[in-house]
Amino acid sequence: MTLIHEILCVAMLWGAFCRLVRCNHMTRAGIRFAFFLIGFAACAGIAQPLRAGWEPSVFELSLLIGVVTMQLVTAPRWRDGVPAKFQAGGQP
Amino acid sequence: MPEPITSTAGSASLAVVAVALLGPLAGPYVVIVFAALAGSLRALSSTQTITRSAGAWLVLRCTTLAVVLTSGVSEYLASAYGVAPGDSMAPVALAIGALGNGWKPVFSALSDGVAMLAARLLKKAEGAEGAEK
Repeated sequence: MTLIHEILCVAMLWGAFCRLVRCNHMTRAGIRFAFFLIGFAACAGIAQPLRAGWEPSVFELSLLIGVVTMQLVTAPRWRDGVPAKFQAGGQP
Repeated sequence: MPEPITSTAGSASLAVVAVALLGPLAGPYVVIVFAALAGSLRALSSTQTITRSAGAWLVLRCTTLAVVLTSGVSEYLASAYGVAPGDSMAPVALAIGALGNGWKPVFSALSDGVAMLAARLLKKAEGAEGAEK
């Protein structure tokens, strides 16, 4: 369970990193903040097993699977950079 | 800091492997590294990076700087304000990482502060001289 949790956290961090690389100061602040929070949560998740007796629950794993799946599914939309709707001046 | 353990399933996490490899000090450093890594993502989000390697380089720079500076800043906070270093490490590393390339305003604020202090001291010294005359 812990290994699955670590793999999912690393995948989540990688997904957030890849999107944040594409972001710039013209990207909507909310979008940037959301991916920063995802990266933050992934970093915290990777370090969680340091706590004594900590084991990931099924609920936490299902949340992680959901986020990683969402990142995988939306990845093609980021292939050519930040989607236009997420850039300042783009259609909301 | 709690004792690091491996899970009952016998799977070793990255952090646990780090503790096993680097010893007991790895705990605080893992906290610093991951907090700085999280902070550097904020810097990455507002920087124009063309490639992943350029982004990784920025994250590496921010994280390394945070690893180097955090313990010193935490020690200062402990001596000046009585904040336990263990409590302040993660927020300090996060803040240093989040600063990213934005050190210029920090340095200019510091230099402004020093200049203001010097001007105040000079004025005080001139005032004392005038009073003596």
